Amino acid sequence: MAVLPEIDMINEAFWTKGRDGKIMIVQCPDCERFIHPPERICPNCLGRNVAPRAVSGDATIYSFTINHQPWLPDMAVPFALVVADIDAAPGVRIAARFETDDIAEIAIGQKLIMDFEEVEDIRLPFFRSAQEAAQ
Amino acid sequence: MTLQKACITGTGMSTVGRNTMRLAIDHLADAALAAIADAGLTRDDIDGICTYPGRSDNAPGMSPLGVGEVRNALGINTRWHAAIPEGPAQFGPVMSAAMAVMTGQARHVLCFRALTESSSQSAGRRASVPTGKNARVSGWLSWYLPMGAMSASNWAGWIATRYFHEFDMTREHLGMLATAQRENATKNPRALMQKPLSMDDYREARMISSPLCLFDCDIPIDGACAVIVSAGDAAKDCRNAPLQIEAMGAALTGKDTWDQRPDLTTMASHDAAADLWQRTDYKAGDVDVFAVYDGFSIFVPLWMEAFGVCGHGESKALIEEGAFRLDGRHPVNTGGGQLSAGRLHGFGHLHEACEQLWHRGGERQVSDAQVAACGAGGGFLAGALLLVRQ
Repeated sequence: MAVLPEIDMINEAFWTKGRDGKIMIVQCPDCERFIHPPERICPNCLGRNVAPRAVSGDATIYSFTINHQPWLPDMAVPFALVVADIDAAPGVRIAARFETDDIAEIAIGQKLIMDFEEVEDIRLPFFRSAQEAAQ
Repeated sequence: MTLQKACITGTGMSTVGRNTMRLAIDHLADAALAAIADAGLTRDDIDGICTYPGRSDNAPGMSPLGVGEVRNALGINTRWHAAIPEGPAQFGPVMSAAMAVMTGQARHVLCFRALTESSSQSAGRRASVPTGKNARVSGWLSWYLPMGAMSASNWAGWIATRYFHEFDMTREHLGMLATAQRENATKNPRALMQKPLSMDDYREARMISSPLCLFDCDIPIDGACAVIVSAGDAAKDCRNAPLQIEAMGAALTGKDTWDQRPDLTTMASHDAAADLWQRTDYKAGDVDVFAVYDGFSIFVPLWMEAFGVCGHGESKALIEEGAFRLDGRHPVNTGGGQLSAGRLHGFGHLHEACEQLWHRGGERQVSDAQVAACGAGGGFLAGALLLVRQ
């Protein structure tokens, strides 16, 4: 049973509008800064015109961990959790599960693509291996 | 106007245990009354109370007592009080109390931390996994829990994996830290774990969140710890040699996140410790004892680098040399730390630093300790204190 995020006006696009390997990341049109977690005001130029924009979820592993401990009674373990740099949104990282056939081979620098799992009104992002997807 | 620096004048700790089935307020009263007596004060001298984070019902047993419960239970009338949920980590109350006594809001402030995470866990609600009462999660936790990163061990695992990658550290190094801290714990009667831990025990331990195994994680406990923060002039009349809060560091750059910091081989610890050194003429080389947050073993090298004991990524060599051991050049977590003495959320570290500066360390005493550096927090939480015996 996943713990789901509370949706508000600032994070709604991120949690509900991801599809086709693309994720909605807030960007400031005035200074082009990507902002994640999303904010209402650009922390760089203080612009108020920030808006979510569909960005390719292609990403590169910055770091990872394999979780072995079932923190909830029905949690299946082990599974991989990565922190990945979003290639098309400099400065933005997304932490998410990485579904892979080869958990032992996970490495920093590995290329990922994004997929989504639908849970209630949420489209929960997770990563897959770009190489496995291409096969 | 130059403000006279605040001092720590007394400390107290309850018996720390697992599954004690005692009420939090009983632990708290033991710790608070011991601290007041240690300072040579009475309840009537205490005119301020401060805690971190305040009463919280979101994470089981993480903070069962707020300022109000403690005021009521101990019958203390205050001129100043506060709970600091968003501040320089677990040292928020100590720093706030220092500012309160420096500005005359209070003379003697009781700072406390009480936890019943062990009992809560045994009752079926896992400690430190914020399950909350609401079906949905908001705030910074919402970027991790829904993604499956439920535990701080996952977030610390990311830091450790990246640090290992960049600086060729291995589990052996963390094992050396964990076993050395256990050795310290066996010399600390207050420490939860009294049985030695061998490298083989460490190597064979089950993995929690790679590369962190069971012995890289601190231990949820039931217990409480209290320190008295006194105005500089009032401290002179107390029983112990005043431990002056020479400098405090609370700087924080970037966002409140565990994953967006550009360099995850550093933490907010680096901001706070660097800021601390801006506020004093003391240098890292003057420090006799370090007490640094070890919610996870990987935080220890990061904190030591943050304090400038060595350069970025250079902890590995110091660990191999044994520099962080009790008999090393930079003794760390001399009472066993949270890994072996139990998770008192930074207050245990502060307590041990004071024990060392008051030369009450017994078998684990660092010879003639005069200066202690304390760091609390991990990830985007950090507070740093430099204590100097007067």
